[in-house]
Amino acid sequence: MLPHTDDTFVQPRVAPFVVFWRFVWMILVEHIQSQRVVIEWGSAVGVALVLLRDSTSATAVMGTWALYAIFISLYTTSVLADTAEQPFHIQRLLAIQSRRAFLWAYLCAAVVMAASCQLILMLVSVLVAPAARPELLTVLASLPNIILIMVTATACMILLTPLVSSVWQRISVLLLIAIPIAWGSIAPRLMPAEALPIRAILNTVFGVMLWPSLHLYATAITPSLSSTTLSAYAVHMGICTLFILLATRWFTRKHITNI
Amino acid sequence: MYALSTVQLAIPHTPIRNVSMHIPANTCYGIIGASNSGKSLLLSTLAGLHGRVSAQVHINGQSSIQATRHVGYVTPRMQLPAYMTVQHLLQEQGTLLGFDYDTTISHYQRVLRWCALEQFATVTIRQLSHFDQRRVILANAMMARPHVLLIDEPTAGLTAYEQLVMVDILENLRNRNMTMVIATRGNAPLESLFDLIGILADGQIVSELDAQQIRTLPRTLMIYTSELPSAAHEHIVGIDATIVATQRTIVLTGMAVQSLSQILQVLLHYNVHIFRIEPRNNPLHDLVRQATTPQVLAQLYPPRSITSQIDEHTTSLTGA
Repeated sequence: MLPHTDDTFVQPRVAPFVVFWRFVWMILVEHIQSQRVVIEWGSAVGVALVLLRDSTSATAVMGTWALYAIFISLYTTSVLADTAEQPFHIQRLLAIQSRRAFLWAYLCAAVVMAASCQLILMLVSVLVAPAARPELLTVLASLPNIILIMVTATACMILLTPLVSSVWQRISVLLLIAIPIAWGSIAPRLMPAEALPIRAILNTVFGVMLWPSLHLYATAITPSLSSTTLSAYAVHMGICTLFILLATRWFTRKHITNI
Repeated sequence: MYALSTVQLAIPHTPIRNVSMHIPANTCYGIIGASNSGKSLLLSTLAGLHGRVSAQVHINGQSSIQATRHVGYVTPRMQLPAYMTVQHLLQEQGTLLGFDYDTTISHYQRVLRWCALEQFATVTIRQLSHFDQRRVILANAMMARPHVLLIDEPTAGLTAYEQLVMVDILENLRNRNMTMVIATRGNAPLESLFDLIGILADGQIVSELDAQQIRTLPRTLMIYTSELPSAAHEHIVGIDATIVATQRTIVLTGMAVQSLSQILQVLLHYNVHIFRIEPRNNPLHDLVRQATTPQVLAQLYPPRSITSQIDEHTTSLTGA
C-alpha cells in the first residue's frame, strides 16, 4: 500500500482568462518543442530566398506576402488541429472544462504561429530583395488586410479538419468554397449554352460571394482606404465570425472519443 | 445522491441503446462486456465527451458536460508527448486546472507518490516503458483529484507483473474516497477491485453483481503437487464428492473451492510438496461469455436499477 496523504479536492485559484492564455502559450511552446515549427519557419525563409531573391517589384513582393499569408494559415491550422486531435488531449479538454475555450485556444495559437511565419518572411525578403522593399506606410496599411486574411483562412481551415467536423460537414464546406472559386472553369462543362441565363445568375451570385475576399486580397497588395474597402472589411469580419461560430457549434456537439 | 447515474442512455447509430446505471459514491464499478459491445463508447459518454448525449449523465447530481472538472478519464489509446518530462507534463496539467504554483507542486508530488512515479519525475516520456507511460497518463488524470475516475482497459497490453502493480495502484486510489468506473473485457486481476459489476450486452446493462455475488462466482482451482500418497488421495477425495484428484493434480470446482484450506492441511500433513495453485477459469470471462444469452444472465443477476426501482416502489406503498 502506498503512503496515504491529503485527499482534499482543490478549487481552481487562477482566473479562466489567465488559464486560457497560458494554454495558448503551452500550445505554441509544444509546437516549437516538437520541431513541427521547423517546416513553417523554414517555409518562410524558403519562399523569401527562392521566390523573392533579387526581386525589384514591390508589388510582386507584397503579392507574395498576401498569398503566403493564406497558405501558411491553412497549413498551420491543419497541423495544430491534428495535434489537438491526439487522444491524450482529452485530459486537457476535461481540465480546461470548456470546449469553446479549448477550440479558441487552438485558433489563437494558429493565428499567432502564422503571424510569426509572416513576420519572418517579411524580414528575410527585405534582406534578400532590398530593391523591392515596399514603403513602411504601405506595409503598415496592408497589415490589417493580412491579419484579416489569416484569421479567415484559419477559421475556414478549422472547419475542414476532423477535429471539428464530420465527413459530410467537411464535404459541404469544401464544396461551398471550391465551387465559387472554380466556377469560371467548371461552368462551361457543367451547363450547356441554353442555360446561359442561369449561368449568368450563378456568376453574379458567386462573384458577390467572392468579392470581399478578392477585394481584401487586392488591397493587401495595393492598400487603399475607401468606403468599398471598409465594407469589404465588414463583410469579411462577418464571414469570419460565422465560420468561428459554426466551428464552435460543431465542436461543442461532437462526440470526441477520437481526440 | 449517486456519484454517477444515467437513465435509458441511448447513443444513435451505436450499440448503446438503453443503458441505466446508478453508481454509489466511493465504489468501484466494473463495466464488463465482449469486444464491440460499446464499453469504451459508454465510458467516453460518461466522461461528458459525447456532446448532447452526455447531458443525460449526472455526476454528483450535475450534468456530466458541466462536471468535467470532477472527472478523470484514462484510455490505453492515449499517447504522451515524447519530448516532455513527467514533471513538466503534470505541472502543465495543474496550470490548465487553474491551480496556482504552490498547489500545482503539492498535487504533482502527491500524484507521483500515488502512481509510484517518484523516481521518474525528471525523465522524458520517450525514455519510459509502456507501463510507466500508462501510469503517467493515470497520474495526469489524477492531477484534478477527480471525484469520478473513468478508466478504459487499465491492464490491457501489460505483462502479468505489471497488471498486478497497476491493480495495486488502483486499489490504493480507490481507498481515497473516489468513485471508479473501469471498462474491461474481463481481465482476472481487476476482479478484486470491483464492488459492483455491470454486464454490458445488447446495448444495455443486462445484469449487475454486487461484491458478494462476485466473490461467489463459479470457479475452478488446480493444485499441482508432488506425487500424492494413496492415503492423502483418499482423504482429499473424501472431503467433497466433486473434488477430482489424480497422482499430481487436484481439481476443485464449484463449492469445493471452499474446501481449499482443508485440502492444504491434508497436503501439509502428508508432507506433499505444492508446486502451484492456479485458477482454471476466469469468472469474469465466463460472465462475458454468458452475456451472449442476456435473458438468462438477467435472471441470474438482475440489474440493480430494476431491483432498486422495485424496492423504492415497495417502500412507497408501505409508506402510504
